Amino acid sequence: MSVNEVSPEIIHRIQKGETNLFVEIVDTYKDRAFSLTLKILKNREEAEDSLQEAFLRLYKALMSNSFEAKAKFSTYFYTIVYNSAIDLYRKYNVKSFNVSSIEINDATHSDGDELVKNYESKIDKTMYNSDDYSTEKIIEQGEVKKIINDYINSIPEQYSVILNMFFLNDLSHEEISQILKIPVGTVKNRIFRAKEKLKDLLFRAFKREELLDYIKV
Amino acid sequence: MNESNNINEFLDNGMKSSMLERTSDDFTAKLMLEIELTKAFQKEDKKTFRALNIFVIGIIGSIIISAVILAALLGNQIQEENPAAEGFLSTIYSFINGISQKFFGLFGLSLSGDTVLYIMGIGLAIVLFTVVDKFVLKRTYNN
Repeated sequence: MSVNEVSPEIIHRIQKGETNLFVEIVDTYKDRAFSLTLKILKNREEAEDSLQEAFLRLYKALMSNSFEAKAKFSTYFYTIVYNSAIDLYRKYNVKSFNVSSIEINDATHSDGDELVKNYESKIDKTMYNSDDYSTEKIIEQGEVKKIINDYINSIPEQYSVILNMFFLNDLSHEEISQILKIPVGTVKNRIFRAKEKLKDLLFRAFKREELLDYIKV
Repeated sequence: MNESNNINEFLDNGMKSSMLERTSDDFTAKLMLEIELTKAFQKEDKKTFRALNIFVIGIIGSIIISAVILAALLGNQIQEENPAAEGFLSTIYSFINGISQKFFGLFGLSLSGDTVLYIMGIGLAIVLFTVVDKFVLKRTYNN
């Protein structure tokens, strides 16, 4: 099975009753999709419940022929995953996820995006000022990874959900735009900015040559 | 250019591995159990729905068929009482009576027009149910 696409043949066989093939789909997608629902719900138990619901919806859609084989499976599946998580979020009213701002049509947000400015200044304050991030320091094993982890955990959901969909779940800009109902330009902008910020963060934390040597290794 | 590619690739992989979380070990087993339960419930729901529909259609069908037969018999009775009254239903009744007597006479049988009407009524009910079941109900079950 390819990374994100399920062949019409497999869908047809599942519809004919080969449930073991559905297990294959579950095993292929569950961890990556779980990472996404966890980013939204911030609670492992709720994220798993939401994902169970998403797979159940998918199964029912396949069995009732609601899913047309010519549609792109990944877009269809991740729309279900995202909507299930949002439904659960609304049910429990989890305060930590700002749905309205991820759904906002911010086509006008370009360079002056307030959200970007806010989170960048927040990261500047929390991460750059930390003693752990000194340019004089020699890179130790796992240290770069820690910075990336800290960064990923500190950025707002409006970014982390998109980054998760793009880097981890291999969705295209267009697919993300379709699932989140935001303009493609916003998706591209957020991915670019988030990556540039991380790059900047690493180059400020370590000597350039040292970091490049580390990357080569 | 090469340096930039290396950095980008490193960041992409770094972010990817930082974001990956794992579900609990029994996630798939629990999900498949849930799917099996859903399948069983859906099967039961379909059975109940089908039984209910058969019951409803049966009642409606029998009311319609009874009304038709009653109207035919009544039309015949009126004609017997008043031979001058030549209604549409009594014309049909006379037609069916004549045809059936000739047809069954070929096989050495003698069936009255009333009996033939009853048999036709039952046949009509069966055809009606089959058509409704095939084109309306089964589509509803599947949705």
